[in-house]
Amino acid sequence: MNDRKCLKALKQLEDPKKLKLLYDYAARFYRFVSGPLPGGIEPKDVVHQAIQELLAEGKRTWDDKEYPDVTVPLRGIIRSIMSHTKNQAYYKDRVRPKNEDGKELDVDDFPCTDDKNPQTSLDFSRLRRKIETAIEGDDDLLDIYFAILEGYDPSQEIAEYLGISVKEVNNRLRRLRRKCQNEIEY
Amino acid sequence: MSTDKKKRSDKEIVESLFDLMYEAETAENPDVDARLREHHMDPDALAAEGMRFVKNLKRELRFSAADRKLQGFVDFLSSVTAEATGRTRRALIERLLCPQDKQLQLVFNRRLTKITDADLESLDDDSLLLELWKDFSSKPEED
Repeated sequence: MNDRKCLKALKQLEDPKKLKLLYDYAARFYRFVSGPLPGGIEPKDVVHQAIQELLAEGKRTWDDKEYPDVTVPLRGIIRSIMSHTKNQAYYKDRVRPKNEDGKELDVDDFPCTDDKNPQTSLDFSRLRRKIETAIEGDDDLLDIYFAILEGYDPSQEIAEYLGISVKEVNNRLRRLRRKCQNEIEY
Repeated sequence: MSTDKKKRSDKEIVESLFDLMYEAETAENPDVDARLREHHMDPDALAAEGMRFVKNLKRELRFSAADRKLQGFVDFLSSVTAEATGRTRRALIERLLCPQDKQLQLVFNRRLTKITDADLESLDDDSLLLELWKDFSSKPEED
């Protein structure tokens, strides 16, 4: 990352509110999606690693014209680090997911995913099923869900696709979160 | 809006949903302190730790950038003063350094001596990364 972008990112990160939003995001992703990480790694450690990777190590890129807010790429990096950390633990410990008969599952059991780690694929498949259970029978939420399946994201795109307002999309998303709280530890 | 959407994996679907729900929740409840407390986190302690982390990183990055640029400067001078050695080269470098640029002087001195924390604190936050090499880059290739 060049000096100009680096300085721009640092200026933004000197705002404690931005840092808190990142900690909050990491904590929620940890509880809702990734689950416990190996080696006692906490959400705040992942936030610091994400900042380090973006600004100091040159491992990540940031299109500051398209995403002027540096927390947007950092959120993606946080998700990536959490998933990657779980993958590493999987390959290190060789803890293979098994089906109901005790047979080890492989990536071929998950043909609809581009994730090559069976454990991660299994985790995300289970999460999807839990979400689908949570919204079963609620047509408004199913509309949102199917829009996301179709690839529409963010709220603005979903609103245009469904022909409703962004405010209505956000209301439904908040309702979806409340429903998920009953099905998923969140 | 694109009409040609690619098929998404379970991972992408869950992460998109999570992000959208997070953004809606943040819009509904912008009090991030309260949300952190929900996770049994102390917002003030976290912010203080985060600021320390960012400050340390910033210091490292400033020196890294300055060192990179100074190395380029030294390499350049070495190429044009190939015959000069030791004190002669150093004297030439010191003469070429802009005497008004105290930050550049500090970084230059850091390579020769130990710089103190007080020196670090005296560095201006904003100008070093952007302005440090302005003088050098505007100098002609040949002396």
